[in-house]
Amino acid sequence: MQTNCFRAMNSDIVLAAEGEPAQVEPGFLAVHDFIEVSERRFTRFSEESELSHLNQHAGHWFQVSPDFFALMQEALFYFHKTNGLFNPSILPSLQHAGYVQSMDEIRRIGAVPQPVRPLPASHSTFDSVELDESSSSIRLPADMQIDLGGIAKGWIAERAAHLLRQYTSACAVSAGGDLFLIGYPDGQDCWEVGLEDPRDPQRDISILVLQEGAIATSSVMKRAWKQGERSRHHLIDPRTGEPADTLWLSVSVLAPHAAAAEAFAKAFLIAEEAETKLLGEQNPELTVLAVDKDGNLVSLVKPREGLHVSY
Amino acid sequence: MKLWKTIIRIWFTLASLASFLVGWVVLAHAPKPNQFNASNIPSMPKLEPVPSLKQVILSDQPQETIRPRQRAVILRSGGS
Repeated sequence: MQTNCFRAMNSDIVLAAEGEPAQVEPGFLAVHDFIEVSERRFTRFSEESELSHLNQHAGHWFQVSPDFFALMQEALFYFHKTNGLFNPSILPSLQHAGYVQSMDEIRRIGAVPQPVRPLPASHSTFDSVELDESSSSIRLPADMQIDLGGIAKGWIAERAAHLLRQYTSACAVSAGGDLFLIGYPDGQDCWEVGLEDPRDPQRDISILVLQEGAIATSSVMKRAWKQGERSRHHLIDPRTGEPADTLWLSVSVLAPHAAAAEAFAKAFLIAEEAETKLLGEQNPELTVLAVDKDGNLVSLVKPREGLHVSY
Repeated sequence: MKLWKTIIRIWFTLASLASFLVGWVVLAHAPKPNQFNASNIPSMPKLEPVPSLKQVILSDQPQETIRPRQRAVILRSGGS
């Protein structure tokens, strides 16, 4: 298994592919290029990104690339599937909580103190975004700003894996822990994926033995910072507009697609008990694992067959 | 003197020959050694495998601390 690791989208990217170096290296290069282009498209930390342009044109129709349009369709789909818990229109709340620089910058120089101002009122919900497929155009409500950070990462990981698959019999792409797996390593019938301990990222709390598909984890410990004396993190509860007060430190979701895994990981992390039960009943194809504040790993939804968790 | 030497020589020759023949006869009639036969070995009780050094070292530690060091994995998921 050949591997290639680099940094992009403020995350560690890991590519793994079966085959000789000469065979898979061109695939790694193609994925590098794809991720670089995608990052420029979906980042909110560049005024020149397609996402920033869309936000700047809120209230007006704005033509986007086919990739951007496809991701927005998925974002709307998962907004409905998660009963609104996954909601990309929380950008003003995220900025209000102090997440105005990339996490790499915050880790390097610390969070820039933000004046505590009242959050601008927004009455539009994410499902009021309009899409016109014939012209590949999107219109955001005038009072809406969106961030596609998490779901974009999952979506990019899956697309990148399919791209890499053209050069190999089996491959995996991890974008900051959002993973998409195709085929199996030579001589094996599964992938082994370490599930990071949210209290200590250097160690794995468990090893998951997985089939093809996707896994994504959302954690309140990973992208966290101080705003004055207050501890903040990047998972905004769309109902309150504040960093979510969660039962769990992290939630991992196994799903057929990486965008689904990412959206549901966020939703299950934010969900209250009754909402968790409802989401599980509505989406029986998912496997949902959570780590509580004492470091216990629990299954929120009955694990599907074929999943092995070793301790 | 010469006769005495001749008698001694004959004596040594005869004694050596006789000793050789006696040894031959003794060995020819001695019981033969047993040939190896696995079925003659009494069955032994099966022993449990000896624990590996890693298990021995880690078994004294709390379960929580041994989890992460069991296997090395390339891929990890922990939140982006």
